[in-house]
Amino acid sequence: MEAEQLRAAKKGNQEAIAAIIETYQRPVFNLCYRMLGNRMEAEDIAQEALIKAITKLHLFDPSYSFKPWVLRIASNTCIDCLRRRKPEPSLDDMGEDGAWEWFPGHSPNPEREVMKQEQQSQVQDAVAQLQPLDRTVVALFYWEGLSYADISEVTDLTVPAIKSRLYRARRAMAEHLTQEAIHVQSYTQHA
Amino acid sequence: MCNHTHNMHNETWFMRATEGDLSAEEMRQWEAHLERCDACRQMSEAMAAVDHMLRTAPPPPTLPDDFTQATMARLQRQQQRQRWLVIFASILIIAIIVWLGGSALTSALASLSRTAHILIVGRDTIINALMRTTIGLMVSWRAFLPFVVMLAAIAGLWLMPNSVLATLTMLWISKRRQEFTT
Repeated sequence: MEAEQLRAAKKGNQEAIAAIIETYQRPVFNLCYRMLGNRMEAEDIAQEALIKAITKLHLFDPSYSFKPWVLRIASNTCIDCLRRRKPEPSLDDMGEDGAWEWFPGHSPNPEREVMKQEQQSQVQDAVAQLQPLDRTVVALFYWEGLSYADISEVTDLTVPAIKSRLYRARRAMAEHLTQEAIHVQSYTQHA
Repeated sequence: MCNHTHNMHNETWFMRATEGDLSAEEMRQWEAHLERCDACRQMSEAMAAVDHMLRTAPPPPTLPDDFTQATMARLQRQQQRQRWLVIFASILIIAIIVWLGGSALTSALASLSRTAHILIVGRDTIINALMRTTIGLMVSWRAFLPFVVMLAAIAGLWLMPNSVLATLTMLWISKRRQEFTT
């Protein structure tokens, strides 16, 4: 079914293209969101990645799976976006982050929603400490549930290299969160 | 920092423990090490907390309902822009080819024209000069006649074979002798 859709999409069939976008928009957006930490930017980059995938369909080898291929395009697009970003984060960005956004009336339980947003913020903050490629590896392993072999296909890294990157990413995030906890503790003691 | 088992303070042990790659005996050694080593235990706990935080992270926000339509519209805009770019580039290339080709053709025609002009004018000039010389000679032949005759005589004498010259000289001498005797 997917192979037929891909063949039709390659020939420019609009329905097949729409079906492919519909199928892969969620994993692509999720990866972008985890890598960029900003909903609006993630939507924009996810669209860009999906369009790139559609326009480069002639380069796709049908003997491979499509999902790692499209995620690879999404990861590379996010890495380019992160490289284009200014090194100093702006305070204005915090408001744009999906983790900080608040939509009154959307949830029946506002307290739980606030806790969820805080948890999301903590996760995105920890992921933001990582190098772009490490973010890809973490996002694919934890949230896309890809195997080491699939992550290897997306990132061009060997399986031992992926395990090593995952370990170092966890360690870096652990050190960051420990530092954050120390800061919070010292702040509350001084207050 | 623990001093009991130095070889456990490397990332290989942490990685194997996290991946569940340790044997039962190695696991027992690792747990014993963590009980004795505060730094490793704290790091192990912190990494376990990170692992838990990542696994239980709330899902990303939902996509807008019109995401597929918006992406399709953006794709179509992009394709249309590319089509226009291709058309514009094609027109530009054709215009350049025509311009360069026209220029080269004009240049070649001009060159041919110049060559033809030189040939025609050159031939006319030569004919003109020959005509002028011929007419000039025809008009002033009387003035030039003695000179021309002298030149012809010199040339005749110069080019005449010696035997002919000797015969003519003998005839002239014999004729002079007859005149002298009579």
